[in-house]
Amino acid sequence: MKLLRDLLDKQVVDREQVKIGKVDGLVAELRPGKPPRIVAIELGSITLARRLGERPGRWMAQLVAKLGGRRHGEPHRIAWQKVRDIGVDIEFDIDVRETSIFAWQDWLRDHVIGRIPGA
Amino acid sequence: MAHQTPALTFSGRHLRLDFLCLLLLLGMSAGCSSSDPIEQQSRTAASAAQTVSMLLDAWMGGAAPFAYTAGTLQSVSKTLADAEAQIRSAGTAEPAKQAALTAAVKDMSVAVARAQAGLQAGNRAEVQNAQQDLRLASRSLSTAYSRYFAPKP
Amino acid sequence: MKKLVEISLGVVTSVGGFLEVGSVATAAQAGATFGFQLIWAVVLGTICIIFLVEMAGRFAAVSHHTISDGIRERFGFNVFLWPLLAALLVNFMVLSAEIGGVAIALELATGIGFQWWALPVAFLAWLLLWKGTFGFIEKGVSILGLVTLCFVVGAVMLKPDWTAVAAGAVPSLPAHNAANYWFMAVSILGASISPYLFMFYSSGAIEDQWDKSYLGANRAIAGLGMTFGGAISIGVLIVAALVLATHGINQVNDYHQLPLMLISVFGFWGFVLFVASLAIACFGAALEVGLQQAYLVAQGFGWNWGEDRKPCDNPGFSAVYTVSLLLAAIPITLGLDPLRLTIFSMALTAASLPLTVVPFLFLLNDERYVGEHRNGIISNTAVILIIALGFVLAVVTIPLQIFGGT
Repeated sequence: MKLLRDLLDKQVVDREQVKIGKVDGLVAELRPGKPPRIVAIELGSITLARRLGERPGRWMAQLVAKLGGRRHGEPHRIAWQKVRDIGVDIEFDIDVRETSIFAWQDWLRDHVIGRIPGA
Repeated sequence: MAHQTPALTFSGRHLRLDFLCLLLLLGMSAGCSSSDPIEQQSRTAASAAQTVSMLLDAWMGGAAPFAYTAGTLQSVSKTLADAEAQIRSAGTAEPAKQAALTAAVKDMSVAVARAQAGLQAGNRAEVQNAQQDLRLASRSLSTAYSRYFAPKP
Repeated sequence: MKKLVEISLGVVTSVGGFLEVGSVATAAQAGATFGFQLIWAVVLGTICIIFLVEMAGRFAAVSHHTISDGIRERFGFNVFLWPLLAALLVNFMVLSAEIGGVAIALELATGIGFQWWALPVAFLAWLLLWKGTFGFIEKGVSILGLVTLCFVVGAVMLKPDWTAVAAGAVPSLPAHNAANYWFMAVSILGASISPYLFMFYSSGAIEDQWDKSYLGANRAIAGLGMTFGGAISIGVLIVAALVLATHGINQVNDYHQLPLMLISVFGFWGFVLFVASLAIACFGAALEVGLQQAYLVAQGFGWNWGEDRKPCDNPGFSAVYTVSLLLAAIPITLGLDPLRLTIFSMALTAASLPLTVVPFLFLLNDERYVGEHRNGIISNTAVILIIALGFVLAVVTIPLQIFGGT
């Protein structure tokens, strides 16, 4: 399997088929003499900004930390052993509600969208 | 970070292409002379006058509602005032012929103002008179226009 | 039988949704200034959008990806960013122009200035997206949009010289005013080949859960729907040529001139028809473009999306269309002339097409996505040639139009 081609930027869903995001980055373990092994995927704005370059990555990390507090200063990671199925989407055996991936969407719902009548 | 390099070259190539396009554009814009404001504005004024004439016919036939007619007249009077100002301020070698154009557009504005007054008062006879004025002004604009753009003797 | 109903509904939807402020304005200007001479631009644009819509549906049905999903996955985020930004910008301008179109219609009907209508119109559009479902928005508004067929009726009633109309379908060089001629050709191409149209179509195909069994229906809907839609644009152009140009109105630079087209054919009812057509067509387009902005962002970043869910179930998605509509209403509220904005955004659309269409063409030739249902040589060539023509013309004529003093 070609990692970059077949995994990167694919849609990620959790076990309830909720769309969580895209495979924004891959975390691989380099093993001498053997091909590298994927240990986790990363997703979120920090990883995306890092792909644009080192500096945008740093800025985004600072911005996110300022907005959401220290615990959001690092990209979200999902361990590769949680993967359940790779098809059109990649399904992970997790529940997005137990992670902080949707923290900003939850904030948006609680503070803005949810307050508009009819939501 | 393996995917970073291709992205960089991509954006680099992009920039160079953009730059080439820009150069090409600047060359072309410099090469083609911009269209003459007098010609452009005279045509705009002529179209505006025809619009009013058609509109007033429709209004008198009951086909154009009052609010629309009034709004259009107001908008056209702005267009005409603007055209007049632009023709007046355009640089030209023939001030007399230019003045004839300006005068014709001015007559149009006056006719449109008369139509506006007639419309507000609901006076159909006045609107008809204004249409007559407008027709005359259009004719003098077209004469002045052909004189202005006549081949030099 | 069920398929037949589905096809007819799809065709009706495409026809009703085809006309929007861009196609009305560009066709009216072209007809007034150049008579039938620019019909070829509508024909080329329609051919191109037929191919693109068919591809969008086929791609969604076979690969179960929307276009933005596909581009991001195939080319990676850093490349995806360019078509994303281009599409967001162009859609923003088009959305603003559509809101302006509804606002103009309301001004024509009431006499109250268009600026005052922009925010109420944006609010109403938002309310429909907030409360409505995809089927309601796509089908309801498009069926109302069939009122735009009055332009075709008008064109036929004016008894045009059909040989002259056919001659206009063949490209020809202008006798006068070349810069303006080519700029109008670009705007017409941009108005016909709206990226939001085929991207929206692919999102719709996913929302309606299309699979390979829909390929035939897709071909029929794209072919028939877009052909009839293009016919309406040609109808507008013919009416403008026969009504405005013959009355000596060669320059359409004021939206107040537009209703005269139908008034001259249908009298007072022509006025009503024009206002209704403009309002409905632009409102429908505003809904679709607003929704498309949300689709684009949500699909590009992998959030939950879907018009049929409640806003609190996908807050990111709803936030994008809310913000898009609000922002797009601002230029019109500030008094920017909707007609100028429309013409300019159509030309800009034509210039931006390579960024959105070229990656899409790659996807349609990639076996990993569409397998045996790859593009044929004809569709590839036709789309590439038309897009290239639009791009070159746009790059040459937009600066001329800006700096040319008109």
